[in-house]
Amino acid sequence: MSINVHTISKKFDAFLAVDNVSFDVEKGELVSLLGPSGCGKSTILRIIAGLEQPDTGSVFLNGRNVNSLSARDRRVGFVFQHYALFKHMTVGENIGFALSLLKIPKRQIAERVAYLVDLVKLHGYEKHYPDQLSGGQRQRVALARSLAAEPGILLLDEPFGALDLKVRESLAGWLRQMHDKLDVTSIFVTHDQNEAMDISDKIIVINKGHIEQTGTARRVYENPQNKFVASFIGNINSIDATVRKDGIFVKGTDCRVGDSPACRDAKEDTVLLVRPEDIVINQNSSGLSATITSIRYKGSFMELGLKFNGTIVKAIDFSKREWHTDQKVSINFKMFKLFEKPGTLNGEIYENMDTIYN
Amino acid sequence: MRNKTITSGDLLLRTLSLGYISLLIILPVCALSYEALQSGAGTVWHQITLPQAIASLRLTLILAFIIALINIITGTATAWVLVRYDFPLKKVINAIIDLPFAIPTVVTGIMLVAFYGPNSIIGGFLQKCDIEIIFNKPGIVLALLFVTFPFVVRAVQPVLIEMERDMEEAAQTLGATAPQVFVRIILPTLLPSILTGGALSLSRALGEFGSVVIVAGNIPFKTLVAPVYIYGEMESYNRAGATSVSFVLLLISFLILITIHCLQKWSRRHEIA
Amino acid sequence: MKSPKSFGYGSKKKTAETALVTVVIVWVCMLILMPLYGIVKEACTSGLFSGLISITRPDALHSFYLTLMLTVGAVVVNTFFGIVLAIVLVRQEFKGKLALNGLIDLPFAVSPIVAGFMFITLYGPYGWIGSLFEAHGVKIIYAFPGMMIATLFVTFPFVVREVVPVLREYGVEQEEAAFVLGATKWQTFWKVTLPSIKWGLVYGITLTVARSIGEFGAVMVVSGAIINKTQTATLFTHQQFTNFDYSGAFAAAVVLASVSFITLVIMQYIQKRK
Repeated sequence: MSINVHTISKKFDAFLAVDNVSFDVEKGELVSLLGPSGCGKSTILRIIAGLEQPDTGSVFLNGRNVNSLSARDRRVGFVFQHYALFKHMTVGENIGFALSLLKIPKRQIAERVAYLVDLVKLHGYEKHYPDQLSGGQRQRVALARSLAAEPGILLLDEPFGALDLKVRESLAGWLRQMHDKLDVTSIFVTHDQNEAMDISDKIIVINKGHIEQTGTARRVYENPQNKFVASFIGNINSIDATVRKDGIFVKGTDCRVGDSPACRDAKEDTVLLVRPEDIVINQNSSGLSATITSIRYKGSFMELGLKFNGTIVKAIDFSKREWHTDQKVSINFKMFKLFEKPGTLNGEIYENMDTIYN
Repeated sequence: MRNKTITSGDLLLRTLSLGYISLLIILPVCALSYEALQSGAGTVWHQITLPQAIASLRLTLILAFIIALINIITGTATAWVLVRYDFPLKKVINAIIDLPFAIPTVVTGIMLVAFYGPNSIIGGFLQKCDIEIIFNKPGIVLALLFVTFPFVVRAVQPVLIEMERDMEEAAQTLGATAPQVFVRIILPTLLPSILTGGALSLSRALGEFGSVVIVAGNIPFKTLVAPVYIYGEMESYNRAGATSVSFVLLLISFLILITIHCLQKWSRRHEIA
Repeated sequence: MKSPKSFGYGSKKKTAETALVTVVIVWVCMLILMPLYGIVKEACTSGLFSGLISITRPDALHSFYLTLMLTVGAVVVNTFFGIVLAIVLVRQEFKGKLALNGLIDLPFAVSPIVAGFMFITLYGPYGWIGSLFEAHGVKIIYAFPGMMIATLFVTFPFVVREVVPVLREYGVEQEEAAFVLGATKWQTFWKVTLPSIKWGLVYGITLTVARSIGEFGAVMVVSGAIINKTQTATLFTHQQFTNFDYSGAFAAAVVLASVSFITLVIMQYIQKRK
């Protein structure tokens, strides 16, 4: 089934949780709604499921307007953050629940349950109760349960939020495999950008109830459209800059960080966003001068804090060289994005100007 | 559980507790049981099978079960309404439910006589219709309903409040109608607490004295309940009769207590830590 | 963020809801409020004045005084032992703890008449303990001590049951932190444990007060209801009623009911603070 969300909004008392959101999900896609806590992504998911009613706008499933359909009638699979397993039923009973509501012969239900139990690799646990399972196992039961009635779409609300890091990572990969095998259109809500980038066909970045950017993981990481997306996904350093005819300078200094962007006029108020892995550090003096203020060993790389023209930037170094604090080094920005600060706004959302490669 | 060495302070507390409970609960129970059984099980049986005794026991048990059943239905409905819905005066109603816990049983009896007795409007009206509430069985039922009402409500309410709504939403997304959700998801979760409240209701109804002694008229074979019978036997110095019937009631109380504890354990059997 | 809603759309749901709410409200009002109204009306109409005279007689006043003494005693003794028991139940492990826990609920399950009779058996002139005291000329049953024991019995579980969950939730870690910071056991108890169980304790005490004021059956059996000596307020009310002094009975009942109301209000207030 395809999903179309068209200009939906939702208010809770005075709080605008969802602000005029529209997007499409093609049949068979695995899309994630990514954003910080409280940004409205769960609300959007629940509206699609029919657990909440939007104040304005419509939801279309396979081209059909489902606004008037209750959650019960929409035939969506929904996986909850805390699993919502029926504590008083066994794993088998949980998974077979949807089918037991219809007048399907017991034998058929048992067959389908057996198939799903195998699919989620919980063979042997059919008679167990949820309190006897680990978190990861419970989540797999929740998934199997939602798939029992063969829903057209699968909605997952922070399904791995309550689990340990390693379990999260393996389950995320496993979810992608499931999705490919079953070919069911899925939307999955998360605040963890690594998870989103790991398994989604498409990421929709949401902040304060509206969509910031939509795109593949690569696009959203390498081409953020504004400061929110750039700083939410991955880490980013932010340096105020001025664009002059002869180049881009750190604001208030004569420190030149790169060539002027092509076809752009001089601009007073811009901001330069550069990722830590795009800052190259050299021990010689062939670049811009900076001083090391902190060193953090992270195993496969070092994270260095650098004092640069009055601000602190973070850089990542894979070279495994020996650094020490207060060491004077020279840095180069391999690549950065330049954003224009609109004069009237409060400076939070910046308009994309250019991507500069050095 | 961390392993701790027992300090003398701990032992002191433990001794104080055991001492107090012995004097207050354990020894009195033993004393009564001893006295009842000392004269032999035969005497006990004889006493409780006396016509008046057995009539009172039967009346008490039947009434108590009816009361428990009524309370299970009304109590669950009340708890549901208080937790799930919003309506004017909700806070007031919630507070009123505790009133039977706060009011002396004698006052309850007097209240009922005042309101339903032959001198009141309602009582007079009912008398014309030939329905007698006071000094008859309906009066006892009313008194017992009053004093036992809060038990089921207060047992079910916290469970209902704690219940995670996402189980119900999950059932919805899986295709369950509202009645199906209630019967297959909510009711099983609530069942232990409903039964616990019912058991508490039952034990209270079995033992109720103050309100019943005023409202019932205490007519043998008609409105004489077991506790009032015991009191009567005591007053007429039939010690054996009083002891035997007391002993039987005590056994029933223990039975109910054990049932409640089993229910509590059962309700926690699938608790996810 | 989710407001309590009924699920499913449609006006059919709404009418079913409203019907249920109405039924419940009517039931609660009929069952509980109406009789209350009845008693106030009776007290006022059937001679408020003569009622007041009845309850200001010496024996009436003595009965209220006796109830007060029993209540104070119950609060003091059961608060002390209630806290002790709560600590033992929550913080200690030993064989037989489960049985102990079960026994605490016994007063709730036993008829007050049976309870009173148990005490006569044990503390009466021929009982195991009573006979020892009788030898020294001390009366337990048919005297104040017996009534005190009966009152202690029926009010016993309240403080324990209210403090135990609070204590359990509170956790041992705060007390351990206090130890590490140098507090003695006593200091820890006063400064850390007691404040944490404050509201549970107060609620338990309120319930104890309400119950001991209202206790009837057990005290009646154990006291012999000797006027001006062992008659409590509830016993007095009952006596007036059986002696056909209805205005006196109603007046006393109104006094007791008012005290209960106040107790109820206090209970609600504390519930909010818990």
